[in-house]
Amino acid sequence: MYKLELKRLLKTRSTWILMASALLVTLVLCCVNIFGAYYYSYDGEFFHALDATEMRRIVTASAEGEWTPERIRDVFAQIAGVAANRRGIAVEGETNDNYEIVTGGNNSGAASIAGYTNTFLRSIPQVFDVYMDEIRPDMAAQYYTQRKAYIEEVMTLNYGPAAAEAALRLDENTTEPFYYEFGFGTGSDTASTLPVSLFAIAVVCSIICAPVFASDYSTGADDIQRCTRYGCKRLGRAKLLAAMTLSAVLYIICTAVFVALTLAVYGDDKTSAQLALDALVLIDIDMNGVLVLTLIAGFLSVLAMTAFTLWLSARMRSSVAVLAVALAVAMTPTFLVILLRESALGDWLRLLLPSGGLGLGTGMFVDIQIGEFLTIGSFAIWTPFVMLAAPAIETPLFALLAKRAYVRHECA
Amino acid sequence: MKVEIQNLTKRFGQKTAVDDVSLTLTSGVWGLIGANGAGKTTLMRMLAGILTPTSGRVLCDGADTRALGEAWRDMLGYLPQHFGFYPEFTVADYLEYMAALKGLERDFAHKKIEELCDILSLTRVYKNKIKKLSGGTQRRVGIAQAMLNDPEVLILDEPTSGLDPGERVRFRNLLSEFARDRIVLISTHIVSDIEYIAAENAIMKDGRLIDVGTTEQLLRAVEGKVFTALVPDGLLAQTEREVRVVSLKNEGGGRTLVRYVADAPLLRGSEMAEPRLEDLYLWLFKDERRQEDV
Ligand SMILES: Nc1ncnc2c1ncn2[C@@H]1O[C@H](COP(=O)(O)OP(=O)(O)OP(=O)(O)O)[C@@H](O)[C@H]1O
Ligand SMILES: [Mg+2]
Repeated sequence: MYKLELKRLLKTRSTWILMASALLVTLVLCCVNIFGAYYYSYDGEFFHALDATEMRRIVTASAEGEWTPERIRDVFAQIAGVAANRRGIAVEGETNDNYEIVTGGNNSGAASIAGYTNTFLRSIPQVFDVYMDEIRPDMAAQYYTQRKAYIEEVMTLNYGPAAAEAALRLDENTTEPFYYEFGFGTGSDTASTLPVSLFAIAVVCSIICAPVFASDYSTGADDIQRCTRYGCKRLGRAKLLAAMTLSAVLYIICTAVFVALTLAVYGDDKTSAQLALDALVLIDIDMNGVLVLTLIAGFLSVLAMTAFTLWLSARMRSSVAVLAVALAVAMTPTFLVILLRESALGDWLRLLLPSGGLGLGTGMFVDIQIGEFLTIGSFAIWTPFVMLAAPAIETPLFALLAKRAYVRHECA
Repeated sequence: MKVEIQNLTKRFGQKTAVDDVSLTLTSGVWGLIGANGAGKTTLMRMLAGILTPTSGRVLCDGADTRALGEAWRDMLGYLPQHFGFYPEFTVADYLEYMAALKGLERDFAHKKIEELCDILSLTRVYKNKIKKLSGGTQRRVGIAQAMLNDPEVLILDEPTSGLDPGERVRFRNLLSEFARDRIVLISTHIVSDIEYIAAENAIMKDGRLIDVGTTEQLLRAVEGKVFTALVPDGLLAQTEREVRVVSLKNEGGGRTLVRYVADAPLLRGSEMAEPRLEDLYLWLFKDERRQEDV
């Protein structure tokens, strides 16, 4: 029954076209990532695509390894030395973009610190409440202590003491000192392309699943099937499982391609997420972990979206209406982060939708680094947890609802 | 084998589509006759179990079909008025798919499909996509689907619509052979079909069952009420307004043979005629025409 249904889905030409287009989008995004990279060096040289990545790998080699407080101090001293006879700190070759390049004078000094400036200039100064050039080496050595204070301050300010306490408790497990190496996390734009790819997969899954029940209702095929021995409960279950399988397989294929290409070009990345992303990453995780977590969250969300679409499909007669609602829900998190950024209501809504882990400018890659909490009274929960839990609960829930809706459906 | 319909009623909002229908179906072909909107389809859908009645129930050998569930569906074959299918399916795909849904054994299914395709002249289009077939051929695929599992209760909603005369004859023969120890319920507007196939008829009007019986029994109601008369062409329009015309046949020479139903002969030179189901139908549904005319 299940095999039959899967075979039927795969027999539909549109299924293949849609799956191929999801794969195409994934490939395109991968290529944008790989071939869109560029790098300006201090001597005014311009590198492109794989050359840029190679250049970045070479330049940042000096920053690899553990960042002990002593090393941070030494490096800041070195930066201060270079900065003393220049008009600022140069940040060379930021991923796909190039901050101010200080001109004039001797470039060799700036070049010598390029590897560092590129690596931690975002997250280390972040925890100090002063400008970059006011951070003295001794102060910089206090980075790890200051980071804890920073977390407590930000959390208390935004979500109250309960969240601050929860945040610090989570953060207790982070491994210090932080570690840096070159890889996809620090050397590529995966953070912005992967969510787009996941979103595209979810949309394709919704389009494939929208007609699963609804089109049978509207063509009348359902009337005939429902009168057969296995046409009710078993067929309902088989259709659900087949559609979910298809979504899961599509997700796995597309992300596998994405990850394989990305890792092949950039290599894996054991950089602490706290260094690579943001000081507010609250768990002990490196960029490989962030990638895995993003893929898991994406997987759960895609399944939840699939189950949700199937539920709509089992309730409505029109595939187009199903698709419209499903796409609206899929896009809601994206709009919510634009319109209701940092409002509790927006966060609750966004995370409780089946599409919670999907969207542009939202998703696991974002939520893991912005340090947001959902709070009810004195209870506070870190949003990445909700992002994993909500779809994990919603998938079976919507699947059950869908089956029930199908079994009880009656063309009134 | 006995299927009892007990006080079946279905309301859609204000509209009562089927109104307190009770009927006991026994082996044989049953014809369900009624005007458009009489509630035939609604009744059949409730029988098939895809529509929940507002009240009343259907018993199969004493057991409620809703409680029987799978067992009831197992002995059921149903062809809805609108035949829906997956557009990507060929006849072969479709029949195999339905056979699997009906839980048929592979070998049995193959034999059955071959047999039905032969009888219903589908062998030639076996590998064609259903959506590219003609309406009548699609209808035959629908009939084949309904009969795949050798159903003990076969419900066909207008199976003959769109069939050409040759196919209709083959279909009739198929059914009369099939219905020997089974219940077959067919609805149709082609009264002559029922006349040939159906042993018993049920007539519906405005959701109610107004008459049940064999064709002969039913025809007694119009016994002595069917007449033919020759009318000059000039008076034809007037005649059509005055009497309930069943048929007109041009006899040449400026005259037309009018067949009509009435309590008593209304036209000059009327002769009594042998009643047929068509006459009965028009007799029973004469009000409807008048309403339309108003
Ligand atoms: N889903 C529905 N919602 C509302 N009214 C309905 C519905 N289905 C049927 N009806 C109404 O119930 C009545 C009976 O409809 P039904 O389809 O059973 O008639 P029928 O005898 O099969 O007619 P036909 O000969 O045209 O097929 C009609 O008046 C119709 O408008
Ligand atoms: Mg009908």
